[in-house]
Amino acid sequence: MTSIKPFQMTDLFETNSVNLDTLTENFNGSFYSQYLTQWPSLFFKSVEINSDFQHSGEISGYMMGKTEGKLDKKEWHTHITAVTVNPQYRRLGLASYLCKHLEYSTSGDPYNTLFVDLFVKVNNVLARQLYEKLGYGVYRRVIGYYGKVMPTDRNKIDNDIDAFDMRKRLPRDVKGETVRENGDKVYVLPYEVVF
Amino acid sequence: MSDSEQPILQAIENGNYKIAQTLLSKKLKKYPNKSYYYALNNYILFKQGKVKEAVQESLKLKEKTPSDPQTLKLLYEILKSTNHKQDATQVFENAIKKYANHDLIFAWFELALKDFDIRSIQKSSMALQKFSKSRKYTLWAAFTYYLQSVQADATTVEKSLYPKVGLKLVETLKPYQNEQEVYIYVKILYNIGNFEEAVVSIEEFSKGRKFDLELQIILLACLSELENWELLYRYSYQILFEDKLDDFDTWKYLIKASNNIGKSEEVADQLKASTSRNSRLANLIYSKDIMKSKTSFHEALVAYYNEYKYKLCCFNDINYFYKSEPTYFDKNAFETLINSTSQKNVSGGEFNEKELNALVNNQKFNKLLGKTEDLLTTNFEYYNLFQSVLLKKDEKDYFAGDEFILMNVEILLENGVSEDKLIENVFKSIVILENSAKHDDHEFRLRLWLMKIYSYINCSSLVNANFDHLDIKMIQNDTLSHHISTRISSLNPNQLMLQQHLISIQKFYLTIEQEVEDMVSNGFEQLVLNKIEGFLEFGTKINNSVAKMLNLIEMLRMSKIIGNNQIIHYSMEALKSQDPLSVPELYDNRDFISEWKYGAQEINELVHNSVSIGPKQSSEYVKSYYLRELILQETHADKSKQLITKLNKLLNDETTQRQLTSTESWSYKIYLSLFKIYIVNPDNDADFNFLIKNLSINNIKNKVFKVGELTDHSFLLSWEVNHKLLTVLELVRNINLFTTMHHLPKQYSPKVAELKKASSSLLEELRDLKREIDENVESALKQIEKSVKESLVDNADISPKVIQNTFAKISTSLQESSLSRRIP
Ligand SMILES: CC(C)(COP(=O)(O)OP(=O)(O)OC[C@H]1O[C@@H](n2cnc3c(N)ncnc32)[C@H](O)[C@@H]1OP(=O)(O)O)[C@@H](O)C(=O)NCCC(=O)NCCS
Repeated sequence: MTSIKPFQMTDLFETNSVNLDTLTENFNGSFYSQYLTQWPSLFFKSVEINSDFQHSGEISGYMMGKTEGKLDKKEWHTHITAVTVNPQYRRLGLASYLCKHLEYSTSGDPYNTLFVDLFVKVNNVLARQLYEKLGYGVYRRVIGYYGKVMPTDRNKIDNDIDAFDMRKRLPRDVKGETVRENGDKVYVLPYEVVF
Repeated sequence: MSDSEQPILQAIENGNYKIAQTLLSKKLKKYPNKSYYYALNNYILFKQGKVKEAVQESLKLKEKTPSDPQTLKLLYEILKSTNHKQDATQVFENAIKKYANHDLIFAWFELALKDFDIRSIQKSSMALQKFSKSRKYTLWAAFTYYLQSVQADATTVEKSLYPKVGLKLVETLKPYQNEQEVYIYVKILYNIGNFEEAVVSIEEFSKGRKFDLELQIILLACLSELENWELLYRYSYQILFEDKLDDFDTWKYLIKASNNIGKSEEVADQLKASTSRNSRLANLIYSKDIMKSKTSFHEALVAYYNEYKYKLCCFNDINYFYKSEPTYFDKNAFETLINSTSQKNVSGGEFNEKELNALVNNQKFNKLLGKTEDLLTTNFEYYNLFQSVLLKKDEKDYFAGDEFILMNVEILLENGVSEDKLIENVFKSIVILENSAKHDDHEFRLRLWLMKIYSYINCSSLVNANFDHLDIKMIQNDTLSHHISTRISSLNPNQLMLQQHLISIQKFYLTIEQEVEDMVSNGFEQLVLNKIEGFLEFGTKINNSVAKMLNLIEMLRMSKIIGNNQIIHYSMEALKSQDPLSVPELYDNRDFISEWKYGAQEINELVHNSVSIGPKQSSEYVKSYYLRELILQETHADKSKQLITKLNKLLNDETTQRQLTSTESWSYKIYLSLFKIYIVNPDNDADFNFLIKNLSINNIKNKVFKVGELTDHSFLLSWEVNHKLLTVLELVRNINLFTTMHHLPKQYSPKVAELKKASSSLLEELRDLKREIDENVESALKQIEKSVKESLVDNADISPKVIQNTFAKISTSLQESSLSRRIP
């Protein structure tokens, strides 16, 4: 029984069952508050209607999104910063739902972006499958994106630290100019990905 | 503030108040009319602990209505910190009446934000709005009128009048430019019950654009309040089927509305057509609220179950209805349903993820329905049967079969308590958990449990290893660090723990304090009115967190035990600046729940209490330790007397006693009698005799340790052994320190000598005792290893190698936390 609600800073006290997951990042306080401040409607959670532990509304997942980029460079887009789901509520379509709601919220005014994008570790198979199913395609491979040192060689691929930059176009990109086929063969270095 | 004041401020910051005063008196001579210097002088008094004088002088200065922001800030801080809130506010109010200017008001606003003082935020916002008209300040004022009106401490006037004033203000801004402006308008409307206007306003704003989530939620709530079923139906329908937001609350609205306008048949059709989890569950709501039929309810339950028994949400969803709808829920029929499924799964011979999930759900239902006879055996059986799923899964994905293990650990621990073999079952549980964690590295609930019971057997290094493995950081420091730090200074005090954990946790709190300040002021600046309430609440909760105070107390106690003067000084000063005694409320953000999210989704109180590291500590615990440390340090008898009275009162309170272990409670009696002899009445022989009697090794062996404990394996292998001995040791050391710092008149020399002798010989004898204990611990561990080996191999099918490795790890860890290591 899932309803979708805006995320609040205090929800961070209640997200351990989501955030203890090894693939889910725990950011510092100002990172969360920056999202809440700049994109208040693009940070939302799914809550369950159960009453276990005297808590109503267990948080089963959340989406942190933002918008950025220049329209004249055809880079004005929605970005998925984090989407994550409590293990007990996986494979129900919740993450898909959260992604779709973000698309929904930014494909019209006031945002009206050209596409949605995200970075995913090449070896995060679960998430890649999720995005592929939702119609995202690889736009480019960012070499060493999750690595500890700044990479210099764009051909040195490594599944553990490389990211796929995946995109899905939104209705505003009528001609499909912001996406491409065979993006997994396009290698770039992290500094080349700026908006 | 000019550069010439820098040395004074520096001296204050360094705690060199005498120097600060000397420097300041020169300034005062030269500029006898400068109010800032008088305020500084008061501030020094305040910092020196001369509170009464500081307040008196500040109130005098306040009457002169000074107006420069620096002076006002200092006066505000002194008065506020000494519980003169109203005077603090008046400092600014008076100044503004006389010499209103933007900077002055803004300085007040900023100070109020820093303190999360909502009433002052409201007052200063209002003043800003009056002084300089702007859209931003009008929104601030409107918003803060609303905010103050919903505070728990709002007066009747604030409750009734403030929303109206806020509304008037925000109405002047029509037409609204964005969803935040609409939000504050409709939020106030909702609060005063003007739902109609709220609906109109949201509709108007949303024309031609997508619903903002926040506004959408308010819209539906308003329509429901208005019982405007037509419109509620229309919007719920639009959201669910046109916007395709499959939202459960919206389903509920749709069902409710449809029934009132004769459209429930149509909803029934919609429910039939959809197989989403929400619609299947909405069907249950429909069958009970509209059909009011037990049979339909059961049919809906069966339909949901058949479709979703392969998903892990199944248990939680059904559990909700099981608990909340006892009249509709047909337990017998449900039991039959799950029984049939369960057998089919196992005999079907399919061992895939789907079947596993179904079995996990069923075992949980069995637990819920009280069918627990075979649970332990079947759980182990199923866990082993589905190993192929575990082997196939992606390393970072989850294996539902771990729930079997978690359920069994609980059963083992519960049996351990009721059959009086807790320690043996704790060790068994550890082996079982380690065995599963080895094959499923990232399952966090296994590690939460490992932390819990490794703490119980005093293996701090293994607790820490799991904590590090979980990569606990940022806000989790506040919610989860209790796993490593509860009573840790009495369990395993050591440099590494202090530096790598306790200090790093404190660093987190310092960072977040700054972050919170920024987030609140950015929230106002950027006008994200629907998040500011959350920011303020977050800030209040994290800055006044019980966990934060407990961490400081552990830092202080631990640094005293291991002799780290720098940290002793730091933690005491940090505690003083937090002043737990005057914080109106401490907030408990600690998470004691996540480890229980498996099985029947309940905290098993019996198990929880049996393996906890003592009773749950809360603000009374914090206050009592803080008072104790203050008294130990205090050199002025008058102040000490006041503190002793406070401590005494606190310790007489049931709530405090409930938070203490028996040894802690005992130690407080000793501390109190010591304090009374030295500070209150050295002639009181009863106190003196009590002290001497308690400080004998025989008393420790027979009263602090209970008879038989020192040879009892279940005691020797638990955290309590260290806790008791180290609490006594800390006490003796504190007595030594206290009697060196404090002196009694000559005529009491014999008494003093006797006391010192008693404590130093106790210290010697404790050394022997700890050697004896360490040896006993070693042999107890050997014995328990033997019995665990014998029982576990058949029962849970765990290889002897795993058992051996686990015990090797435990043995090393126990040596690390052995008393001999910890007490040189
Ligand atoms: C990735 C994640 C968000 C998916 O959440 P979810 O709610 O289970 O996802 P959905 O139910 O919407 O899944 C949609 C599709 O993704 C694929 N998928 C998701 N999880 C999968 C898994 N464990 N194995 C195989 N495929 C999977 C499937 O194709 C699935 O459709 P299906 O269930 O009909 O087969 C979740 O696994 C998670 O929180 N992971 C940790 C955090 C993370 O990695 N986030 C993404 C990086 S930003």
